Amino acid sequence: MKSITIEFTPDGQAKIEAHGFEGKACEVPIAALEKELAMKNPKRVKKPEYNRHVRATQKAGR
Amino acid sequence: MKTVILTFNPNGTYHCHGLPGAALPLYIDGLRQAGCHTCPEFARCTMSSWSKDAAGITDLEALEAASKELGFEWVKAGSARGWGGALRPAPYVIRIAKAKFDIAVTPSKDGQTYELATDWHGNWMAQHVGDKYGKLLQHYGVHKAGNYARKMGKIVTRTFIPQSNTVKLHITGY
Repeated sequence: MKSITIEFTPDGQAKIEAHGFEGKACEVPIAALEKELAMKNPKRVKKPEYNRHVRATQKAGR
Repeated sequence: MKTVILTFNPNGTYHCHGLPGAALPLYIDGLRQAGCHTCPEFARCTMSSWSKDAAGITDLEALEAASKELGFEWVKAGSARGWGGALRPAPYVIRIAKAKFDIAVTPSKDGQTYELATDWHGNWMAQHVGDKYGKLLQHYGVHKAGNYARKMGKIVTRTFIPQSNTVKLHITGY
């Protein structure tokens, strides 16, 4: 299941982490949250899933 | 260091060079600052422990919710208290009853964000809102991100981790 966790520390910092996303699918929701939280130059760490390609599936039976 | 020139008058008032037209009352317990927020030198004044911070606040609703959650009062069109009885008028004030001082919330010049200003004298405020408003900004972020995610139709659950005083938002529905 795709989800995002945001950890807010008492010094006012926030850390956003995506779970269950494959490839670059996490980029849009993460960027939207970074914008909402006015995060300036956020440090991004890419998880192994980021480089995993999403396979396109197509049903047979035309 | 910027120098502040004060001229003391025999009638118990003093003039500050930043506000030459104002005769300010002199009290036994120190110089009572009044009208300092209108002074062009205010931001750099070494006499004042008030500080204005950008803080990146864009959402008043989230700031109000964060303030109330921390037990503070949200006042519209009030005056924030500072050291020596100084008052700073602001469209919004976060009144902290347990502290000696308050936070003034004012729109920034760009009109897009709000600035926070408070008197950091005596470290009173840091005890209540955290150093550099950290605790207040933590709760602001929780409300800001939570409101946004709900608006986008997501499901938001919130967890508090007491060991680290951290708040976690878990957003699902992607």
